[in-house]
Amino acid sequence: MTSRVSFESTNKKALEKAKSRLLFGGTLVAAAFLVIAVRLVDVTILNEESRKNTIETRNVTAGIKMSRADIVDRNGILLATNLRTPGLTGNPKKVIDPIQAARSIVQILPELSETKLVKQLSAKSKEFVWLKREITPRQEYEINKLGIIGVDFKYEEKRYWPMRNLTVHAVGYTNVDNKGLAGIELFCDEILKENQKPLELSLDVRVQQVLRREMYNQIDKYKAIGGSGIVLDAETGETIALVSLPDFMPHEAGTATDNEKFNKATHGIYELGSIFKIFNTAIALESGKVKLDTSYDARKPIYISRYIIRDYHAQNKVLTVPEIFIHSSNIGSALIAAEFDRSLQQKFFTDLGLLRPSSIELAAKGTPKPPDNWKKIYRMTVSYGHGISVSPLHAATAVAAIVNGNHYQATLLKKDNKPVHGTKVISEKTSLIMRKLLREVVLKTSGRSADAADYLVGGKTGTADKSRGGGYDRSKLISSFVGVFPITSPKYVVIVNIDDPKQINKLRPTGGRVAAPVVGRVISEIAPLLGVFPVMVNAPDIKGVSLNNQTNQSSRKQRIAVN
Amino acid sequence: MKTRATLILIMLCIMAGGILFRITFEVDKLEKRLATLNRDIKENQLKVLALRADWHELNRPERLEILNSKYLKLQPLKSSQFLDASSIPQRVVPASLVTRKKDPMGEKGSLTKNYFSKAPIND
Repeated sequence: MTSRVSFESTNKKALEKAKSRLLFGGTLVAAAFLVIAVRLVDVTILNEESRKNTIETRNVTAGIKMSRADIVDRNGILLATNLRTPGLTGNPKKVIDPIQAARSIVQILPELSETKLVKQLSAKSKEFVWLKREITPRQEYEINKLGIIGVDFKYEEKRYWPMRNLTVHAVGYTNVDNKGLAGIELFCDEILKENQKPLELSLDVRVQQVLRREMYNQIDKYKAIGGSGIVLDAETGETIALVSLPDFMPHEAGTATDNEKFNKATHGIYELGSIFKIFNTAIALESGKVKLDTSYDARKPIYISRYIIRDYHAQNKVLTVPEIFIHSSNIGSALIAAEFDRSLQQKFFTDLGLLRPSSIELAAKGTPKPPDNWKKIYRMTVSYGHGISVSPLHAATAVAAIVNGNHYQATLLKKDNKPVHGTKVISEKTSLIMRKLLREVVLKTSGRSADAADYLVGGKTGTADKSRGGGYDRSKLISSFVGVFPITSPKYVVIVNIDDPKQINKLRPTGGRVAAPVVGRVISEIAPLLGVFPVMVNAPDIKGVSLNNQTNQSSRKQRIAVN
Repeated sequence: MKTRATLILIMLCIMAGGILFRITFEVDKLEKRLATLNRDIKENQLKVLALRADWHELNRPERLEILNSKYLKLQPLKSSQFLDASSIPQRVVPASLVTRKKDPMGEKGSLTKNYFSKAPIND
């Protein structure tokens, strides 16, 4: 006791001090707790709003990542996409009653064989079997509802082409493991795998549909075996439409025939006949070898080595250079070409890209087949498109180069106003003459049925005997037409080839009869879609466009306004 | 005083503990909900992708053409249906009709009403 008293008495002051310090500390701690408590109440009970916001903004998954990017057309229409599809799988080790399970599954998936299912589900050594890849969401729901133990779903990404066969030769297809096997799917396989951004093609499905429909009808009418068609932007080289018929469904590529799978527009090479007179005339005028009024005697066939060169549309008179072109005289063209130096055609064809595979983004590209050498006889036959084979795409690209003076590489990818570099091939002067001549063909001779009202079409027909073995089969033709519009300031080139059309009313199914009407109908329908403004042909500034107009400024202005 | 403070402290502790439990439960619940929502979002996005593909397939030009020939019978545009904007004559509205007069419907008077009801067509 004494010690305590003494303690109290001696340290009272210190004790008081300690007590007040303790109280002070305690109060501080209590205050801190109170703050925490108040904050807790605030966060948990009172402040509901801020909590909601946090939940909604946190952790929301950013988009779905697919293993392959979409492909879209120039207007964003979906051409190919990946979808997640359920597939039905089984784990035989877990299945209790395979017979009962198979019976109920077959009721929902009647295309499966019950005996095969029983066999699959009874294979106790396995832990995984595919029962059916790709089932519909409804089937998935129905089977899930059955609640069979050991039957499960596996989700796979599956390539899907909403436009079906419409763009199949350009877009291509993939195998079940999403590997590109043809078309853009093959050529841009790596890009599609690495990117999430859709790949934009230069195609326009509306134009594609018009071209395909018109070609399909014509092939049907003339009992032809197929055909190809291309719409090319003459100022950029973009492919607006690319059709090869017959075609096939991309998801059934495995069962398609070789003929259906063959891309006749870019892979097939053909002798395109008189279309080559466009190049021949351009070479002659550009090189200065001939003048517009130089004339040639086209009355007699030419006999050279073992060949005879004769005219189909025989005029039996002396023809000037424009007349040779307009009446499509083989004799005249050959006589013009006879004046060329050995390397002139070769150089010019190289500039036009006619002697190398096209630059288009497809693996299926034909390598042109020029004559074995450029001897006089071959220079003469090449002038009217015999003895040289190129793909229709080559021809379209080269014609685009002739009508605007610059050669642009053909492409399937959208340029998006990126500047494109063309290579100068011929002078503006020669180009203008060529445009006038092409317009004349449509106004006066073989190309008449391609004249889409008010869209100022220019063009050239081509009718070639199909080559067979070492020679030609006179009864089988490739009938072509290449059209350009509007001819005053060419914006688009349309080429149509029909393979082996049959006679109707004993009339030879020439390019002018078979292919030109298709081009005419296609142009009158696609021009409004492509923003090309019609020009009233009888308007004073257009009248006489054929022979003495200059590049029509007003129509160009109108077009820009519409675009 | 001392006991009181202790009691208060103990009570506060219990309260804090209770609230903490509540929060834990709530966070658990919310996290589950978040996971469900995220899963639903993903499911819905996948469904949207499938629906988008369906939509594009249903809008195939070929199918629209068939539907058109069956129900609408619309024709492609003809060149005669185009007209240059400059060739359309402008309507001329007499100045007397444009002046704003007192209108019972509004303070400022209605310009459009006059134009449509009285303006002669000066084609």
